[in-house]
Amino acid sequence: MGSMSAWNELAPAFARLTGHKVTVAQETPAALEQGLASGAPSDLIVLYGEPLERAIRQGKLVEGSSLNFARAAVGLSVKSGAPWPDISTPEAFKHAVLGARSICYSYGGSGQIAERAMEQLGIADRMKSRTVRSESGPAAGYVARGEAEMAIQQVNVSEPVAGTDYVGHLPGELHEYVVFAIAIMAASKEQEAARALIRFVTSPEAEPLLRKGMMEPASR
Amino acid sequence: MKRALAFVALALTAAYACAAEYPAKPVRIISPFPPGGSVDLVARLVGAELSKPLGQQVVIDNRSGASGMIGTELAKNAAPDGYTLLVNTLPFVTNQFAYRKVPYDPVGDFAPVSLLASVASVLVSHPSLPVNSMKDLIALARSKPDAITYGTAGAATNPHIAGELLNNLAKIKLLPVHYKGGGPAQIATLSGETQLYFVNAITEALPHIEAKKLKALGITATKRNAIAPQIPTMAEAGLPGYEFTTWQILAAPKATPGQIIATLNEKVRATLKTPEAVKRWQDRGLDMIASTPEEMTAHLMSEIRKWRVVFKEQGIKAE
Repeated sequence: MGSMSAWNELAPAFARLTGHKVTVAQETPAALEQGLASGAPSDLIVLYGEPLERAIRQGKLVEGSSLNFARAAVGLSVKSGAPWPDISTPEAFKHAVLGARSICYSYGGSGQIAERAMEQLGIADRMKSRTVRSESGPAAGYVARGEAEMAIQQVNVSEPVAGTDYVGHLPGELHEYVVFAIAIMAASKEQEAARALIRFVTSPEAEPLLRKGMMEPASR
Repeated sequence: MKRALAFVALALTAAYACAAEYPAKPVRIISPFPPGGSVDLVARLVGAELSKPLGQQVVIDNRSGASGMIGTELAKNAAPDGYTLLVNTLPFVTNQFAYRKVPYDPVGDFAPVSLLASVASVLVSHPSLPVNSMKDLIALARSKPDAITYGTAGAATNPHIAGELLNNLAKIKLLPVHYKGGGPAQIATLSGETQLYFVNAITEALPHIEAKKLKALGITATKRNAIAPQIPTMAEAGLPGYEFTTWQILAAPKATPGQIIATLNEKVRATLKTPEAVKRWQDRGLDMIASTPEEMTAHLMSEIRKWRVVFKEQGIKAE
């Protein structure tokens, strides 16, 4: 999902406000890498983590334009109708996942957050045999189909999946947000409009739109 | 004996008087699917078209959930006075094959008003899926069963039925991922979370197709659509015999007086069949039908026969 749920709200609002049409396309990491290398026409880029740092190093982005603009919480989903486990504290969360037959998370950002949570709790080894890594669709989909008992993923990816309930965010120090940064492409011919878009998505007006997409402003 | 007869006569007069004044207040149309989908679109269109000839406001009430069963049950139990109507689509008749318990009988619990329109879907894919045609998709799906995902608006909704019909005919196994409505399902495909989606309202998909954020693999009708003639039919794109055309009906609770049904049907046919209205609906990808109540019943019966077989062969279950 990345940040598409928020762009679905932000892009039309920006277009109404400024008359600039925004086209948002989600690329796979490989396609993005290729696009960056070949200088495919794009004005802005939304990234998180390591690929962002690499793009800055390669000089693909306007220096100093990169800004964290949104984040998505990461939490636990169970099948609709199943009892909700107590995940209000790290200890309770540990008990809950140790009691699960299987748990699903992705190879992406939220999956790494889930891995780190298991390591912090000292149960990474015990969880290994009952961890399912999602490769086809959202982790919550595995729960809906009965292929896993619980799933950990971003709220904006998990919550819309039918047949599942989003119980809540990872508790306390186990929780990390998936943080999205936005930056202007060095090759953009619409630098002025690109700056306006960044101003808009980091403004207070954007906050309710981000929340509608189950995201929130990044703390800066 | 004489007294009893007088009582009956009086009751009949009262019912007639009531029907003659109809409608004396705003009419509510229940749309049992969330805003943004084809049922909501049709409810809004028919509401706007009918408010003038009825001389009353027509209010759309979105009551979604459980493949339309929540709103449909609400309409079934509403007062049969012509002030609560229902717009619904294919799951209206197919839920009985997908769910253990369905709280209504599509033929027995409703008075038909009109079969309003029919609509074809478009199968779209995320650009990251390396396919350019149905032929490519079928070949890829054969090599990777249960790995390519398609989003649905929920179990047993139109996109799910369209997908299972595709699985059935092409002998492939695309994996459905059910979402809580068509809106989130389309966002999931735009973001590449799922790889395929059947868009029920062509106009919803066109801007994304034109911006190359989604690829249109095929239209599910037997003919190309006038508003997007560049999109091939599924047959042209590599899957002969595939057809998935869904439809929208207008119905009322069973005991609604025949006089009111006749008034509604007459207004529907008079206003929807004008060239302007036909064009307005066509621009949104909808083919106008505006049938009589009898034609609507015949259509529902034939759809029940058709889909009973597909649901059984494909084992489509919502639970």
